[in-house]
Amino acid sequence: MINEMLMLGNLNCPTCAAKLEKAAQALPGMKSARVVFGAGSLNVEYDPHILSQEKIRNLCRQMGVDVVAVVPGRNS
Amino acid sequence: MLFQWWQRNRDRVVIAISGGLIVGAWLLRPLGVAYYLWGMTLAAVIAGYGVAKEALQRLLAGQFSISLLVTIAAVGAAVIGEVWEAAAVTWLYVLGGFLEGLTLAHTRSALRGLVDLMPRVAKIKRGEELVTVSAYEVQPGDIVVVLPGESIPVDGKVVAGRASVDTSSLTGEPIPAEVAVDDQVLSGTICQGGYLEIEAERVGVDTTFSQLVYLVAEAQEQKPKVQRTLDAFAQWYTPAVIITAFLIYLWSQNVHLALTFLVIGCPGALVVAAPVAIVAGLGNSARRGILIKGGERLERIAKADVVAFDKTGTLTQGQPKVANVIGFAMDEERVLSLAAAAELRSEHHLAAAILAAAEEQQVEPAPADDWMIEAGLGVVARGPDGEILVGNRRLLHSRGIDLTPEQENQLLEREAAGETVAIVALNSKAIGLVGITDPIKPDAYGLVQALKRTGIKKTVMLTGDNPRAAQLVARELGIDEVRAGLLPEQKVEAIQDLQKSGHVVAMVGDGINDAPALATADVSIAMGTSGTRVAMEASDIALMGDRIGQVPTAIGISRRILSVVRQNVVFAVVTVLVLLAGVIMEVVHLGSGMAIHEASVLLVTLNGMRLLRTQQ
Repeated sequence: MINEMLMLGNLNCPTCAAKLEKAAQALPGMKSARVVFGAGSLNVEYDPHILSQEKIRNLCRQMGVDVVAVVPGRNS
Repeated sequence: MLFQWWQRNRDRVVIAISGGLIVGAWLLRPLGVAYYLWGMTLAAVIAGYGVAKEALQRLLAGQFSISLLVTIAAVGAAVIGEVWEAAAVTWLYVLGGFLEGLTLAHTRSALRGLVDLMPRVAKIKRGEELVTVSAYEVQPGDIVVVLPGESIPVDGKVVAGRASVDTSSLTGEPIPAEVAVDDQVLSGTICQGGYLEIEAERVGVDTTFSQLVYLVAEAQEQKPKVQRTLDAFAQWYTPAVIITAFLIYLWSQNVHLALTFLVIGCPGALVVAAPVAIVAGLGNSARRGILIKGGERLERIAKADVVAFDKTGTLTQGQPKVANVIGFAMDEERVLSLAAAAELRSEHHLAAAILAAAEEQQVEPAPADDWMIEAGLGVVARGPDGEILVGNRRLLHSRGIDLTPEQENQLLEREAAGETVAIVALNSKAIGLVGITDPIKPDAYGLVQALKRTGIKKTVMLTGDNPRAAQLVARELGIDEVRAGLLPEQKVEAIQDLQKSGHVVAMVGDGINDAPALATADVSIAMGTSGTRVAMEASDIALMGDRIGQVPTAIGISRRILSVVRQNVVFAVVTVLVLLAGVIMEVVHLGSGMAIHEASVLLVTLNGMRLLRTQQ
């Protein structure tokens, strides 16, 4: 499992945040996905065999959200 | 290129063109109503296109979004002939979203700033070669090279070179630290001048700085009670607004009124009320080396009315120093030299102070051999000069050595000054005294007064040290109550006592020795340095820079965060209620209601941004 925190550049409306969270959770291989609106981040835990950071970034792009930085977390 | 420019500036362009059209439509109205109608319609279409598109996308995804409410309202207004209202609603919605984006980005800048400081690359030594790799590829044991201006990518030990290191990103400490071989360095700190080779110990996500960023980010997720109440409220709030709007339509047959109600009912300010304040406050304090874990802790911190301190290492420097050497008919240098000789083999913490003083004053320890440690009493050594004793009264007693009344007086005088006194004797005769103190940290002065200003009612010192030394430090600092001579479990009992009498207790300690007391207290505040990581992980508040003077700042900022959250919640709720009442009484219309609604979101965000400002 890989843990990552994606810092989002333009997450301005709380509804978009909820929408992004739902869409991220629906990705195959995603174990958990949480959008922290205050911090403007998407915290994900996923199986690297099924899902990749690139795919998550693509999803963000599709939803019109910029990923400005990725902070790797502790892998388990 | 052009597409990217458009992506980045679309909001600005839309706001400018649509706004210009609205102004133009008003100005040209006297020339003909057609100009007005077409101008407003065009303005509404330009501003509303993006809104409607988003609303449609969301609707297809099965969501009833705010943009949908706005679109329905604008289209509805246009259908009933109110083009001005349609233009105003859409334009204000786009403008509001744009301004919120700007302020939100600013609010998050404190946390983003921390992320930006995270080291991205590392130069590691592979034989003679220097290879640049990602900071996350470094392995423990690798030798990392850091040049001036670069940030240190790992936690580790310096194996070559020396440099001054700016630790402010981690500790908030403005004065750079000088490091050399064998010193520990932490990731995220910046090498200013010099050159360092560091043996990596903790790398990548395990570094102290990575942990700090994670803990700060995680703290945002921890919701204080007030926010959880709000979230529960928001769940049934939006459906309630939709149903009410529909009922209003059924009851009044007034489309305009129902549409206005829908738009005004959007829960904008309520949703951002808490998060903006928390991210700004916690982010800002983290940048100053104060790590506050969020959530319910904020409420506990705000409720604390008693602060309990450990003494040694928390209020005092924790490194005993020789303050006075007194010789009885013998020069002080000789007394110190003999005392140092006896203490050479002792591991007692007072011995370290005596040896350090001898080294500092360039006094050579007298020759000695055959050391004997008398536990709880002192040390005895034998040398060419005879038998040397260094210890307390009981040691002298056990050897049948007495002090003259005059010597006894000098001893009492030193003790009254808060010193721990070692008596030095040579060949069964007292020859002098060595007074040792643990100096108070400079930034502990004014601490109690600052705490009282933040609303703390009582300060208590809990220490294992002797009552006299403890009393003296307490008096010097203005601490209200002293409990001295405590064992670690008695510190726990002391805190439980305070809690039983109805106090909410914050305990300040060093995170390792005081772990049980910290765990018992309602709020644990741990000092950094020695136990930085333990402190970070186990406490409610960690002072990364080990500065005791930041305790009032930490408590103060927690209280301010909470009070801003409460202000925002009250303000958001009141605004919505007033607007809804205004709509029902038909004094608030689509345009004006939307303006007030957007303004309330902005005000709430701006109020949260106040927490970004540095306050001591």
